[in-house]
Amino acid sequence: MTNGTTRFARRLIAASAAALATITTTALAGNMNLQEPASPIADSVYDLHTVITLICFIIFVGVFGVMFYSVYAHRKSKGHKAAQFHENVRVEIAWTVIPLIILILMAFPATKTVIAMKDTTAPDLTIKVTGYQWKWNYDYLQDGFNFYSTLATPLAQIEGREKKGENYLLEVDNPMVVPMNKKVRVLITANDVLHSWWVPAFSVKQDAIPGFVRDSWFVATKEGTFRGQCAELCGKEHGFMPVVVQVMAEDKYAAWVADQKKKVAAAADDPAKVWEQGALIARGEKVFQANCAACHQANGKGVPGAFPALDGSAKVNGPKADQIHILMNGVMKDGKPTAMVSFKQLSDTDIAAVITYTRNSWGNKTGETIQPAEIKAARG
Amino acid sequence: MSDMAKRDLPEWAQKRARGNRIIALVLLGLVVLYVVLFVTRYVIR
Amino acid sequence: MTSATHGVGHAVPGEHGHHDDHAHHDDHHHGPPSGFMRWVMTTNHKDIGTMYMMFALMNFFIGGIMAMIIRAELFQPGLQVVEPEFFNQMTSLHGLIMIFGAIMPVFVGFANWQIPLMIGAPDMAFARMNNWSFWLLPPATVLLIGSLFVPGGSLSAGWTLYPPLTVQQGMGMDMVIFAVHIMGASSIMGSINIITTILNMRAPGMTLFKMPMFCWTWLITAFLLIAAMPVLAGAVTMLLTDRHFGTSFFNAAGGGDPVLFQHIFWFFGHPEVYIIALPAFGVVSQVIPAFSRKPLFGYSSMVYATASIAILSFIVWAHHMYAVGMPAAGQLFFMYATALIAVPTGVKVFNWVATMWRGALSFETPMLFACGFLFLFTLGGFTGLVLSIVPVDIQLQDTYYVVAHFHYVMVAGALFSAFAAAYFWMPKWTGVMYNETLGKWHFWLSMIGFNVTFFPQHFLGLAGMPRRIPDYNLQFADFNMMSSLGAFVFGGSQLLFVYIVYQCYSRKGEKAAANPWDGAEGLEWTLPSPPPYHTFETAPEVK
Repeated sequence: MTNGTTRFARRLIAASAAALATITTTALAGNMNLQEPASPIADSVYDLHTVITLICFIIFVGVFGVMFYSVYAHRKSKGHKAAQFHENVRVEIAWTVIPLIILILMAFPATKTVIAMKDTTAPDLTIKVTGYQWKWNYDYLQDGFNFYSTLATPLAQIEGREKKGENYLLEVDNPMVVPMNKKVRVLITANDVLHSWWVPAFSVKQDAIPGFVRDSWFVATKEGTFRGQCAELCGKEHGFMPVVVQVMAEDKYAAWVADQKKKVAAAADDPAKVWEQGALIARGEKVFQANCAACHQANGKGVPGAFPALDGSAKVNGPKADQIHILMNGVMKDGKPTAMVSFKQLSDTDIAAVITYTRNSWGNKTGETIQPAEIKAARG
Repeated sequence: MSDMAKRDLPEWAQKRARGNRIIALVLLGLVVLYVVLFVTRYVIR
Repeated sequence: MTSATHGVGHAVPGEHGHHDDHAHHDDHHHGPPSGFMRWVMTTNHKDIGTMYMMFALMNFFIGGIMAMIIRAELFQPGLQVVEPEFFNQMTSLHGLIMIFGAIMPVFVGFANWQIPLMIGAPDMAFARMNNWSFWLLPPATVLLIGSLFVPGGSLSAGWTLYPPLTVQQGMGMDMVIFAVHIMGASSIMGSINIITTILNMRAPGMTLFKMPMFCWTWLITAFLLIAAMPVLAGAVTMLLTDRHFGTSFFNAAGGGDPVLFQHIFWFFGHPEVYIIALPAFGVVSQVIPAFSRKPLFGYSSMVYATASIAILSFIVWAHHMYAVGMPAAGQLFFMYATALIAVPTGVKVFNWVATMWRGALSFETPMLFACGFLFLFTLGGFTGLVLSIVPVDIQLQDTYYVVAHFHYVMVAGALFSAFAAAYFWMPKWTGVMYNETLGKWHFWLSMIGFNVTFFPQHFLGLAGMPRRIPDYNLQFADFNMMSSLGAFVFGGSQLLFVYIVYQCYSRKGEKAAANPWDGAEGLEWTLPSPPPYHTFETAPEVK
């Protein structure tokens, strides 16, 4: 073996070893394939992916087997002399037609699955999903209740002050709940920008387009909790608005629905209630953390140039009507909407609480208490 | 100092100048057509 | 057409350079002027080619640093390095700068240097416009980078610019739109130049079917550019008017549709990836025959395959949009059309392998990169096929599987091909052989670094990790750490390339012969290395 060959062979072995090590360690780390399917469509998709990857792998090995053999056997340094052939019509036709046939064969099962995925007829229940910056809203149309589903992972974990939990960034306060083995039709839309609702275990992904409603469907065949994420860049918290679906047996689901209806009735805060300042501030702090801290920061200092500070802000320390107006209507600049959207979807109590909180926290000491009734009046 | 422009092109290349202009105008015309189509489709309703 | 001249023109020996009639032109320059103004005012295709390449190299590092920031943040779960908003600016600009600032200009640089030499022309058809095509680019880059420093920062909605998010963005977005317009104008002018040059400035006897493949791929690419860039211009103009002039093209409340943007953008965007890939194919078609000492297998098939890819590239755009909610008929049409592109692409891969088969192969650095391209671009092509299948794409869209796919074809594909071209032609351009040992180191480090970076990303996507997120669940931690380590190695190895280029351009190496490559054929190899400032003042005779 010549010097060049030895060096070359050594390099090839080193590279292969590195590749093998990579693959082995990755295999040990787990998670090398699609998630375990939990619906019939997800099953089909899983199998489709397996078959196609296998076909590609076989062709790949075939073609590059030939190339690597050539690399080994047809080297000038080994004394191989170049042949001079340079075209062959029959061979060109063969390697045009055969791949075409393989592709046509692939198209059949793929087409079947596409058509099946689009069939949203005859659902057992329908849930409207709305993407917000940066949370989801699930509206159970037949049952008359809806709720927001927001990331529940504590900021402390994200900032590394606490150890990260198993469902880090994949946990919410209120998951979507569905019954097992029932066809669920999801109507998907958005409130502001594009989002995308995705649950890998069900193989459902549908872009959420503001102003439009698109639908998809799934049948969950396993009980449990299934987690996905927003799949369309929607701003700074795009990675922080997970999708969590809890699948329950039918009877447990019915109980959950009844419970939700009761909760909604009970949680409807009486807007006429007069709150004591301390309790309102405590409530307001929770509202602030869930809705405001992402931009205005937990310390109220905002992000200079991007999100205004509330600590020491003229709006927060000035007439309360101005601050109420901002929360109800959002902030416009030069006639165009800004990232400060309206929060009028929050309850009167929540809005009153968060205003009271900001006016009595950090360096702000207005001493004021804003009651829910004032917010209700402002709605007009 | 502009190089190619001020120098005399070699004669065989000079003969190509008219053909160059024709091709370039056709291609430019395609681009203009694009703009016109865009404006009529999306701007003029 | 005999087999000996198929695809290659041979100049009659003795006729090269400018040792000819000086009686004719007593007032012409014999060489370039000196100093800074040489570069500002040049209309010489060699100078302009060099400027494009240096500009591309600079942007490669700027975009590369952004990638390092991205991978540093993704090294571990949690937010340690940058804020999410800035992270999104990095991912967005990394894409724009790499595509419009690095990979496209570098191939235009190769086109400028090589096309006139390969067809025996004295320069490009419109030498002055050529200068302007280049000089439009630095201001555009200043706008792109400058957008990071304005209030609100730069574009943070992804290089794909989807509204309504981009309508929400600050003034950095307007700078990006302006930059895109400028770069588009540069490309369109460049394409008109290339088409005219190739169609009308070939030396007598150089028929189209004797032209090197690199010229063919650029001819076809130039048509793609003319057809695609104005569409992008339209799309970003509509964004601009939605942002500032009260239109609602993409706003449902005003009667518009955000998905309209996606259609318009991807009608540009898909041909765009072939605009990047086809010249890369052209380079590989020059390098592999040279180092196999054997003619390119199936020259005409290669021409037809390239043309087929180009035409098909216009009817597949919505495969980037399978999840928007289009009817099944739409999904099916685009799935079939996209799968179809695999056929001519496969034809090309087979032809390259057949070129190597029973050749007399040697593996200098250009050939290493060309083989790396062949192997890894094809792998990327296969993941593209997987993605073309709608039901599978529903799981993989907007995940790291897509990121892996396009980095395989754009980096292991186009970038490796660019490296192959650089090593192949630098001896010609500079007259100096690059350091072969260092070149091989660059290749192997890049090869290993690249694969460690991007192969695990397939698994991340399959397991469910979305794109464009700065933080992730613990199940994705191991592969992310691996990917980041690979990225640091890959990024670092490119410094070696800079050193190699620096050595060549500062004449620190062995002198290169007119044809340093045993098996290379073509008019450019009949010229001295480096060639004179003006070449083919007399048309070469092409047999």
